[in-house]
Amino acid sequence: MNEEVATAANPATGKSEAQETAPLIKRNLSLLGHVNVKLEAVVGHANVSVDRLFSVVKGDLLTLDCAMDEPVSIRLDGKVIAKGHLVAVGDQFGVKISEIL
Amino acid sequence: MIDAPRFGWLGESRRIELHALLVRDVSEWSRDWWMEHSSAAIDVYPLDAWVPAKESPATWRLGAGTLELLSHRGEAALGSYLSAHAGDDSSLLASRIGHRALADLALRLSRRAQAPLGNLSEGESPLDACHRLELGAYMATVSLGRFTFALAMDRAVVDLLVPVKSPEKAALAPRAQAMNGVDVSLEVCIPLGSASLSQLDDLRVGEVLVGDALLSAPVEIRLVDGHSIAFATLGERDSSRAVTLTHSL
Repeated sequence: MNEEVATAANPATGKSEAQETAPLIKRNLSLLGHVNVKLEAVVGHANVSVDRLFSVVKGDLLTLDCAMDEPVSIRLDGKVIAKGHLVAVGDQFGVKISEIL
Repeated sequence: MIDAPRFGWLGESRRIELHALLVRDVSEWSRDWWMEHSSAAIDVYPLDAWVPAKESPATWRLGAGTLELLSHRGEAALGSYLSAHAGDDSSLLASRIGHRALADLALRLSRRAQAPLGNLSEGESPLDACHRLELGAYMATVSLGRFTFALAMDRAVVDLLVPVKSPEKAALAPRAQAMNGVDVSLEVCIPLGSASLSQLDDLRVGEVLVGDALLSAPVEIRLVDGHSIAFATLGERDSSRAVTLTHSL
């Protein structure tokens, strides 16, 4: 016996349930390729007391918690998406990617 | 500011002190009012809950608080009992004696509390803070031999009768001084500028992401998860990265 499996259709729209719950726009990043996002490189952290923070003057040196050869983190929207090493590209900073998912 | 009642039960030591004070004062009062006065027949039993009665309690303002005295069988019955009168409990004279006796007890307590005693103003209903142990109320049954009446007072009255012993002043540190020692986390960031999503999607290990920031441009010092607070130039100290502060925002 042949069993006919039918998907329930919404009488109002005439579409099946599966059609209605499927994303309207298929995930395709190339559609958004031109959208610009802001990136930042986090080069290190430091902990200072409130007292010290409010007493620093121009020229004061603040040592960060990372060694010179440690990679920096590249952050997008608050999330670290890659790590890399700071490089100089002409007059500008660049980051040579060492880790990325 | 909200004038909210303080939450919390009376401490055991203050309840004991208050109990002793009430036994003493009721005994003195009884000597003047009860014909068959006997100190041994007087006691005060603390209550855990207020027992409502048909009669409404005699209520006074004592300082900023409220005091209630309630003869469950009525003021006339109290007056009769105090005067050792075996006849009709409902006589006007008995009622007056009962009423005045309770008023005198309230007055004695107000003298003890060194606070003025007054009647509730017209239309003012007594607050139930008198009956809520969790708000610091004290309730008791006062027994004079076989006759009992109830007493209730709120925390304000208790505080007047048995003042809170001020604890030794804690050595407080100035807030500013304490805050000075709090550690603040900072991060140093180089704004790389904008990149398109397609650029990011194509990014691989070994590739170089070129930012907008010039090597000579200051880096930002930010509070972690917060705002930028200053700018600095990147440098090195003892093989660690370091920044030299240039200016603040």
